[in-house]
Formats: sequence, structure tokens, C-alpha cells
Amino acid sequence: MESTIINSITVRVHRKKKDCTMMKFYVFLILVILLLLVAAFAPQIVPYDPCAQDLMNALQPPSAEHPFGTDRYGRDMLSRVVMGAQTTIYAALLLVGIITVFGTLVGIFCGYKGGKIDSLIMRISDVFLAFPGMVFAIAVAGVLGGGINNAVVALACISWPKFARLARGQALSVKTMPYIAAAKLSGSGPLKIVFKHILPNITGPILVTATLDIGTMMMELAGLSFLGLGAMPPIAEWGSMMSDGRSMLQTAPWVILAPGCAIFITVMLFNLLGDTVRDVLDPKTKRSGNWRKK
Amino acid sequence: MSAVLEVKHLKKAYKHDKEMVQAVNNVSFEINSGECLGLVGESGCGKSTIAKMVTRLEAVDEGEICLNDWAITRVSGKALRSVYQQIQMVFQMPVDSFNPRIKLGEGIMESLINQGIGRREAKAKAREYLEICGLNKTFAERYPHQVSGGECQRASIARAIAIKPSLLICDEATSALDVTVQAQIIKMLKCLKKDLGMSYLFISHDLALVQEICDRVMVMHNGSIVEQGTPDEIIRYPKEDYTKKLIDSVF
Repeated sequence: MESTIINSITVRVHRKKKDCTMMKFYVFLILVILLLLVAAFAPQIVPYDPCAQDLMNALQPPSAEHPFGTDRYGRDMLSRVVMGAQTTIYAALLLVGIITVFGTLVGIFCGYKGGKIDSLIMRISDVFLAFPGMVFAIAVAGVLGGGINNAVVALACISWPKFARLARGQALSVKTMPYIAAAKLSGSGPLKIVFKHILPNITGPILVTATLDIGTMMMELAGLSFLGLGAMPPIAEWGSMMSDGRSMLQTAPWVILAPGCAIFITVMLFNLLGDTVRDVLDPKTKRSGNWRKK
Repeated sequence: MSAVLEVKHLKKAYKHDKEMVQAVNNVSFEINSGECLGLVGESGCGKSTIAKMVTRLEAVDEGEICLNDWAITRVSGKALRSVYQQIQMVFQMPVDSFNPRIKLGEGIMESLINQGIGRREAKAKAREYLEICGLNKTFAERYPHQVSGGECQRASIARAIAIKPSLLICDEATSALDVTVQAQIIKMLKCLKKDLGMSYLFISHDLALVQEICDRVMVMHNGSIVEQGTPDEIIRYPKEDYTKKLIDSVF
């Protein structure tokens, strides 16, 4: 009797915890989708042309006409922040996409194949990890020249080893599972084993890391743009907008606060989504879900 | 009787703490058509290594393996597919032997599709073999974690026999199951042996089970075969000290 009561309480606690996690996940997912929609339709949403200069209205504080104020060329900050979302989020997603796909493929290949080729590729990744990341990215971006796409390439060069290491570790542990031996006995070739049996079983941790990395990459892109190695003027990008406004922090703080807050909110939103994705994919919550189904 | 599997002077060594440990040492045996050969011994004596070498999941250091008079010791790549048409294996941990993200039916279909059978036919065959193994066709739509250990082991046997191999290796296939389910699985394996005429290499540490299902038994100790004979001979009149100890610990 007592154990039944404890059992039913445990089931209820499990359900409540899972429902709460799922609710958080949906809330953050909707917010991120809204953000992406704003970025996608930025040219249609913005009240003013983000590049149109109006020197008569330069450095206006926030008002009903310009809710985020204007910058030193009289450009509307709200329009620039909204347009900046497009550039910043596009670059961050592109970057995370590249490093996730490339790093994961390299990692799975090394983990599955093993031997000398694995050691060689892992030592190369060690070389990349041994450099101070940002300094290396600045050097690469410096060689390639400015521009948001070059900044993406520079950051991709320093960030792929993290995913390669993660995927390799996961592939190594999945490789020893009996179902991989069973797949070999079924006559499946290496490609089928990798893409049908290994990859789907390691996507969880990789997806979580990728989601959490969107925020980090956004910060690093902003860092490169701040140094003048990212988006080129007059394109609106949050990092370069902060860089432009840094001399006016005391006289016109809104010029730096608007893109700064945008970065802060976006990074936080992607990090929170990453955290909840981890909770949703957590095998413990998953197991309780299956238990319920049964 | 013709030999389905012939193993000659098989050797395998592993590196452990800079020392080579001989896991399998000069093992030779053969399995005749329709015969069930038991392989018993304590954990770590090299039973599973033999299974892995015979199925080519593990490379062979020395020796030769012949499957229906075909030397498969160095076979690799696509030719292995033909080997797996004739040898299949049932694993110790049933749930772990199925990809957790793939339904049981899909798992059974994989080997059929790899052998060149069309998807629709493979689907029908997977359901047919699930029914032969005592599971109704709804199990094809379930994931491994949605069924019990015994049901999963039945599905794993269905997967192994679906391509009608001439040799089925059961590597501790019943050790992870409780006694009643164990009895059901053994009964099923016996029926399948009679109906399909397959040969078995039945690896176990449980002498009672081996006595129940096997025609011949080999006792393994420290990588070598120490004694072989019919189950009754081995259990009633053991010659080697190790076999006596093994029997004393069970009965």
C-alpha cells in the first residue's frame, strides 16, 4: 500500500517535471521563432531606412519618433537594430551550421575508423585548440579581409575541433554497442552504419552544444565586428554598431545600449533554448515519458 | 554428416598492460549440419572471443575458419555479406542489440534489405518471422524500450533467423533473462532447430541449459578447450579437474 502511494507520487512528480520542461521548451522555441521571423522580415518591418542619414537629427535621444534614438549620422537606431538582427543571426546560424556539420562528420569518421588517421586528425584539431581562439580568428580574418562571410570562415576555423572531439567521443562509445555489431551482421556497410545507427544516436549532445553555441558564436562575431573585421559599414550589425558607438557611451549611451541589449537578449534566449533542449533530450525525462506511455 | 563450420588452430591475443594475453589458444572444432554444439566455461575464458572471430567481428591472429567449405578467415568488404547470409548471432543483452531509435520490425528488415530483398517483401517477412518467434505483428511497430527483455530476445532471434542462416551463434542468449523466459526461449530454439534444420553454437556458462539443448559440449578454460563430449558424458563422467569444479559449482 505504502509503496503504491510512493510510486504514484513519484509518477506525479515525474509528470509535473516533464510537463514543466516541455512548457519551458515551447515558450523559448516560440520566442526564438519570433526573433527569427523579425530577422527574416526585417526590411518590411523597419520604420525607416537603416542606412538613410539625416545629419539634422543626429544623436537624438529616444523619443516617440525614434524609440531607440538616432546615431551620429541621424540613422534610426530601432531600424538598425532590427536590420542588424538579420545580419547577426544569419551569420551566427551559418557559422554554427558549418562547424556542427563539419566537426560532427570529422569526429564520427575518426571515432568509427580509429587508427592512424584518427590520431592524425585529432592532433591537427589539437593544434587548432592550442591557439588562443580569438587571436587566431583575428589573424585569419585579417588575412582574408573584412566582411561578415570572412568573419564566419575565420571563426569556423577555430571552432570546428570542439564538435569533432564531441562527436568522436560519442561515436567511440556508440561503436561498442551490440546493435552496431548486429548491424554489421545484417550486412550493412560502413556508410549505412554511420548514418543510420551512429549519427541518430549521438545527435542529442551535439544538438544541445550547437544550440548553446549560437549565443557564444554571436558574441565572437560581435567581437570581430567590434574590431572592424566583421560586417562592413554601412551594413547594420550589432557588434559593429557597438564599436561605432563606443566613443559616445557617456554622451549618447543609447547608441551602444540598443545593440548591446539586443545581443544580450538574443544570446540569453538561445542559451535558454539550448538548456531546455538538453532537458528535453535528457534520457531520464525521456524514460519517464516512455514509462507513462506503457 | 557434413561440417557447417570448421575451426582450425584458432588463436587470438590481446594487449593488456603492455603484456600480451592469450584469449584463445589453439582452438579447433567443427559443427555438423543440424548439430547444436555447446561451449561452456567461466567468464573471460574466451567463449565470446571465439563467437566474435567466427562472425568476423574480431580479426583472427592465427588459424582458419571454414564455413561450408569456404575459408572465411580473411574475407572482407562485400564478400562478408555472403558470410552473414550463412552465419547469424543472438546477443546477450537483447535490448542493447537493437538500435534504440529504430523499430523492431525495421531492425529485422535491415538484413533482408541488405540481402537484396524488396522493402515490401522484407516487411512481410519480418512480420512472419516475428510470428514464428511467438510475437504478433504489432511488435514490428514497437521500439526496443517498449518491450520486455524476453520479447526483445525473441525479436532478436527473429532477426537472426529471417535470412535463414545455416549457423546460429547464441552468445549467452539467455543469461540476461529470468528463469521462466529462459525456458520459453530454449523451447523456441529447440523447435526452430527441428523446423529449420539450423546448426547452433550455443555459448553459455550454464551447464544445465547446455545439457537441455546441446548435442555436444566443449569445456573451455583459459582460452583452450579442455574437454569435449556429449552433455551426459561431461556432466556424469568429467575427466578434467576444471570440468569437475565447474560441475560442482552448478549442481
